[in-house]
Amino acid sequence: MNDDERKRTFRLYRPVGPPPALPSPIVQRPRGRVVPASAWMPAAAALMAATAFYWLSAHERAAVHLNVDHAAVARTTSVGLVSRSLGGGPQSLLVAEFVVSLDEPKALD
Amino acid sequence: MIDRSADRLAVRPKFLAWLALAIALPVLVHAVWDYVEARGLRARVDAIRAKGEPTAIDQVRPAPSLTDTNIEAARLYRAAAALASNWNSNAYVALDPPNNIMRVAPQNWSSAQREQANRLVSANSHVLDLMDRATALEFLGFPPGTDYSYRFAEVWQLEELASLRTRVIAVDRHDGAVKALHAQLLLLQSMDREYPNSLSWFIEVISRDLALVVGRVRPTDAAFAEFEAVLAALDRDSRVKRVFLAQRAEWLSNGSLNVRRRVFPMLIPWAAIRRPFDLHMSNSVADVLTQNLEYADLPWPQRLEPFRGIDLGPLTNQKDMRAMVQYAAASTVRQEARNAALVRSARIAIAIERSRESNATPEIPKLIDPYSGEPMRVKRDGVSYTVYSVGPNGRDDGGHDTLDLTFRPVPPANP
Repeated sequence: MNDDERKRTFRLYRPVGPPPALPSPIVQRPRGRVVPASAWMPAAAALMAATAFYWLSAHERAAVHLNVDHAAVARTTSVGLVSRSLGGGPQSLLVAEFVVSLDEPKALD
Repeated sequence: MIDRSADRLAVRPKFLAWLALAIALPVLVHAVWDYVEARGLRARVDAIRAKGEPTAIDQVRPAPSLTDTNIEAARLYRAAAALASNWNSNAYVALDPPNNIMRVAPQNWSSAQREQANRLVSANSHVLDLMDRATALEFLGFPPGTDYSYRFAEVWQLEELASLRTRVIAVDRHDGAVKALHAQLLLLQSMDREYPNSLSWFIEVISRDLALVVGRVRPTDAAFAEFEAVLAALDRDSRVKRVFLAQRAEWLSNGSLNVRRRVFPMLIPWAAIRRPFDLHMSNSVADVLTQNLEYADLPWPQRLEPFRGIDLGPLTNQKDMRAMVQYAAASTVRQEARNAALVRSARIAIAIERSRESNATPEIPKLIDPYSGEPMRVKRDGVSYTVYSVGPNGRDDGGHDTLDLTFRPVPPANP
């Protein structure tokens, strides 16, 4: 095999450049396919408003809770105390909640 | 070959934006509803507080400051109630009439029933001794932290036993029945102080026992005065309102913000998802309870009218919380009307008996019949008398045993 023959053989395996039409769809902006950021704004605004209302609702419920359950603070303290004395952990917490609920005065009137 | 998946990906963002909006809008509606209901609940609570009415259970009945005597009375009641919780365990009392000695009038007891009653009272004399010691002391309520069952369920059994003792003694015309009945009345007064809702369970019993003691034993004027003092204290028109205030405070404390149990609580945030609906229901129930409080301020018998149409069938048929609340309210009002009628009948009977003792013209107190709004009626015959209320049908049936609510002394036994 002489040099010319080798060149012909290598030419068969030589990398070729991209076809001329290929860069266009890659580089150029495809028409009608990109969503502008403004399209997401209604959803984002709705979620932000929802978050705000949930926060306000939590605020209102916390205010109600203070007035309707005076025993909550004492109950939480008792549950924590009993839970710790039982060794702590989720099981202790469950038992402590049960024990404290049993001990609580159930005055209806 | 052209890969079309690239095209689909390129189209998706616009669809996703619409999808996000489609999800966000219901969330926003949920959030707004949640806020509106929470705000409504707070407004209701603030309005209740502005009127000085309770919004929490501990405001309904603040823990009393107990003296040593009060604590001793509570201790004795607790001990007696604990022992009474099993009072008929060794002598089974059939619950169904006519065999139950608690249901059968003692003057109609068979010899076997009488023997059984005597045995039960003797076997539980230590319980009754504790109860007598307790009723002799001033009782203002159990100290905070006292177990629920002592506060109610077991004291109820104590009352059954006390009633049985009164019957056993009175049917044999022993004077001790007067003291036994007085202790029973004091126990009732203690229970009324501790748990007024339970009063209705015992008024019928005390009325029957008083009729037996009046007819068979004939208490002294001093004893009648003691009976009258307790009955006058029990004859309170404010009880319905107090019960309703407690129901609303209890609802606000325990029902308004607590999570309702749902399936798969660990997987699905039911509390958050259902919260607006639960708050809406809380507000509706609070409105119903507030409306009931206005009804409770009406005089008898107008107080009964708003609850007249409520069906008191099986509670299990009620699915809606508002309907259940109205069921409870109607039960309370109707039972309280019955209680008032029975207590007032007994008070008038006591006035008649006292005048008979002193041979004076009876000064019958002008007590109002809760079913008619008119004075309670008294019907005399050659043998005795009947004090009666016209009863739930609102019609004067002449002191009929079942159509009217009557008090008639049990006739003396044949010699």
